[in-house]
Amino acid sequence: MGEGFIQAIAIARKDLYSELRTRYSLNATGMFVAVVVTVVAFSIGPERLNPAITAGLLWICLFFASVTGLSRSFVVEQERGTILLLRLTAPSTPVYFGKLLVNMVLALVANGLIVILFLIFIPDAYGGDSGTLLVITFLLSMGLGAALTIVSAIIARASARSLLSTVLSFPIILPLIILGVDLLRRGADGKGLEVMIEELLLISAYIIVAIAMSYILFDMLWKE
Amino acid sequence: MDFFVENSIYVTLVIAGMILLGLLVYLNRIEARLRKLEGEKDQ
Amino acid sequence: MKYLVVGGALVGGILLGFRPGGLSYPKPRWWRWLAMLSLALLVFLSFWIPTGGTFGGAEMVIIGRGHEAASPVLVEVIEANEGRITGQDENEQKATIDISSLPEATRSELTPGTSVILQLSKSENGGYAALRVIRMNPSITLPLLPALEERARNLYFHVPSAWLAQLAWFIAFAYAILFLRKGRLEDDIKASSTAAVGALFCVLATVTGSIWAKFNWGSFWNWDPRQVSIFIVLAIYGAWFALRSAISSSEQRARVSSIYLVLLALPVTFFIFVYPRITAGLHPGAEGSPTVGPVIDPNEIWLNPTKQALFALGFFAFSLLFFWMVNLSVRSRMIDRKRVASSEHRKEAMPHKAPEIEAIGG
Repeated sequence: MGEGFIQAIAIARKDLYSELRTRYSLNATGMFVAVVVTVVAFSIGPERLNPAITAGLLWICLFFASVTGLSRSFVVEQERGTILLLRLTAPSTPVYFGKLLVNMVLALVANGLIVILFLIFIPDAYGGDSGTLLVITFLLSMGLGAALTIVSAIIARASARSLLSTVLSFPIILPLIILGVDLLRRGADGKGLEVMIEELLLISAYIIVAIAMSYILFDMLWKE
Repeated sequence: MDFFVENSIYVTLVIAGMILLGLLVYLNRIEARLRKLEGEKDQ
Repeated sequence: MKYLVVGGALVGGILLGFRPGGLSYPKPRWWRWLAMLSLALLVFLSFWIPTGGTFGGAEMVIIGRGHEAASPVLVEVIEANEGRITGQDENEQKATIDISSLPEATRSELTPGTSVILQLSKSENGGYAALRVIRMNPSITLPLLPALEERARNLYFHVPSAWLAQLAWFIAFAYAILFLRKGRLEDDIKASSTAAVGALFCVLATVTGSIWAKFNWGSFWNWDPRQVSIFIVLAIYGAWFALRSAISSSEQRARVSSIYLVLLALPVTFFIFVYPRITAGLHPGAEGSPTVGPVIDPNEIWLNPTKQALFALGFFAFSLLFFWMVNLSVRSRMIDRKRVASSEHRKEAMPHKAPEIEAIGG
């Protein structure tokens, strides 16, 4: 366990370093977020939207930004040809948890960015309590990271990868989307965390089940 | 026109029966062809 | 009793699907005849058996539709006079019916003691008027459900196809796990064939459901929770087939798509079993609905014995159809695979031919 943990951290560190060096994912996601928020801001114009619609728009941004950014984690390795080396040197468990860690961090950064830009550029985007928004964004980022890591590993095995990433991610994170929209809408209405306990628990359960299933299935995917 | 309105259920029955007949003919055709292919392989 | 009939049909259908021949060997002749006969019987009975309502039910239908509307009522003739009869329905409620618009020959047949299904409308003076005779002395009738009326007949096609779409999911899931454990390519063929036929039944359930929705709820698509969930299950099938078509090596395809299928258990379980029940909607079984659905509800009024039998027949016949189609699909793909394998074998035997370039990324 101890050694596996160190290996997982090492893989996560390697990924973060190479990300910081090339800034490929961050740049792409950052630009994507900027474009989407601009489009949304221009299409709204001077209108004041009701919170339900803004919650939906926010979710569309979160979904596509996560899918474009996170589903690349294994695809990048595949395209660079480094996946064989990784497969030779590391067993499946540390690889999975290392990638999971990186994806969760990336999801947090990207989603945090989106939420901040949304709050700045779209008037009255969110009327509720900022602590509630923080908790929701955090949980949703964890969920997206957990679900998209295994999807990325699956996509790395197929062709037409950029097309597949949206198609394959969609069904897996759909429960998350429905629960997330509901939470964001209620949060925007000014409801506190105490009335959202059921949904928050469901999302937590979703994260745990997704990680457990991915852990078991990733082992089969990793072995040739 | 009145005939079709008054007997709409029987009209539906005839249409459904025709669809079913087509489906069964189609399935039996595939079945027969598969049997032929499976027979070839065994020899 | 109800659970026994419907449950027996469900279990019987599954058993007959797997028992003689399984999914990959030819079904015996009697099996195919059973499938064809039960399907024919289902289609015939579900349209032939007339609907025979009561005065109470007819009242609700007529009032709901306006004066020109009519409704079928099963009447036992007690007294026959010139131009009018007195009859009673199943609940022994009596009413006088004006039959003057019926032809003379039919009128003379309506003697005391006969039972008849009459198309009734409300006349000016508040009594009933018979528009026409639907069936004389019916041996078997279906009850009239005021909200559904004749449209209720779709039940015997819509519900079984929806059930098989779900069952297909579970079978495919089981074979995907089996493949991951044992690694036999045959299991992958079974999983994908089941899923393909399941997707077809899913489309059938969607189409029959949306036609039904048009005439019962007013529009083809209302985003009722169950419509949402079947839409998503269709999207899930689509995603799975998209993944399969994106991997060229059959070993890789089998392994990766099995893994994805197992992963899909999470959203599918959520959308089939959880979502339609936690959200309010139009289907029975939704949150706030008086019944958990006609099949599971222990209350007999949702399903009388005739409907139970028809319902069971529907499940049974559709199961056999489903398994027959899966069987055909599996067998044809097994033959395909063997042909490919033998042609590859032949290529290896001829070394002067250039070896094929292996797929990149496989």
